[in-house]
Amino acid sequence: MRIESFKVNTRPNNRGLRASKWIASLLIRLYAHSLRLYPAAFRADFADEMLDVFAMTLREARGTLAFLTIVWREVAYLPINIICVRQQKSEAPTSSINVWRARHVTRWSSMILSLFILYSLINPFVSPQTFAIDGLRLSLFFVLLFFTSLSMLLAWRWERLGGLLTIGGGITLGAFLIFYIGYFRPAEISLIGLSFIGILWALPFVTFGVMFYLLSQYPVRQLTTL
Amino acid sequence: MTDKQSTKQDGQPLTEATFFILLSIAQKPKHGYAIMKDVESLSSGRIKFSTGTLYGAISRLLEQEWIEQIENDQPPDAGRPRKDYALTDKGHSILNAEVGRLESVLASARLRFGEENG
Repeated sequence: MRIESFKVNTRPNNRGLRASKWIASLLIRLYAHSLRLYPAAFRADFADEMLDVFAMTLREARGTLAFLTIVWREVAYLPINIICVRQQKSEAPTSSINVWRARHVTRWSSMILSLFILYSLINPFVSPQTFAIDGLRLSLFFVLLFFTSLSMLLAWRWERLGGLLTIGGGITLGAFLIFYIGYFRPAEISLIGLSFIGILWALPFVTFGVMFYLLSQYPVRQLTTL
Repeated sequence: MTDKQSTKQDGQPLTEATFFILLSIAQKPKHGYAIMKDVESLSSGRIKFSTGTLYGAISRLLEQEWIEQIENDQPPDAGRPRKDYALTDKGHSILNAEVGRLESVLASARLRFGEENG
């Protein structure tokens, strides 16, 4: 980006005063810096041109209001433009195979975890003596665990909904465990240990939930276009 | 204004911004600033791109191969080679299809208003 090459005409005309030269130069410099927020590939292709166009737009501005409008437009749309460009770059065809892999791994590993948990939950009911220890007090925990595991299975078909439910379930599960152990057995474990247990339980569900939620932004039909 | 993803391949209508960009370079290739000004004029001042929005749209249209980049033979006074953008064959057919769609929408509206008034 060659900022020095811009010559902004700031001479006053009969329609009103143009912005002073130093303000225009400062704005162009700031704009050049803001372009660094775009992905590198996009910058390499368009940064010089964008800087040219921005300088030309400033040069054409008639009066302070027009000048401010241009600046406002650039600033107001900068975040959304950056998000759009980044999203566009992440949706490039080359990433399709990675999406396919991520979906494959997420689906199968979450399926194994869900089935394992569901089996472990059903097992105590089959053998009541293993469920007897703290079983009733922990019933809410089992219910939460059941529905969170079910949400992961649901995410196979409805990624967005299942992902969000799994995230919610995971966080609730972790919070419940922290509360439960902290309330009923406060002497047995420190606060750090409690947090660790809570996070440990929540983490797999939150991770799978986030993965499913992110994958929901990539249509499943990409599988067939590989 | 921002230009959302428009996917004509999915049978969706083009966004107004995309339509005007394609229309702007339909006759002859133009550089970014000229496109920006032309779109503003074509849309009677309704669509005013920020530089980022314009180049975001251009980048997407290049990726979709609806437009192509060509080197301008006459460099501007700054001395830097300027890039122009032109419609590709695919871009032409997309634009024609969209014009056809808009004509059919307009025809339906006229028919309905004609029925009501007549």
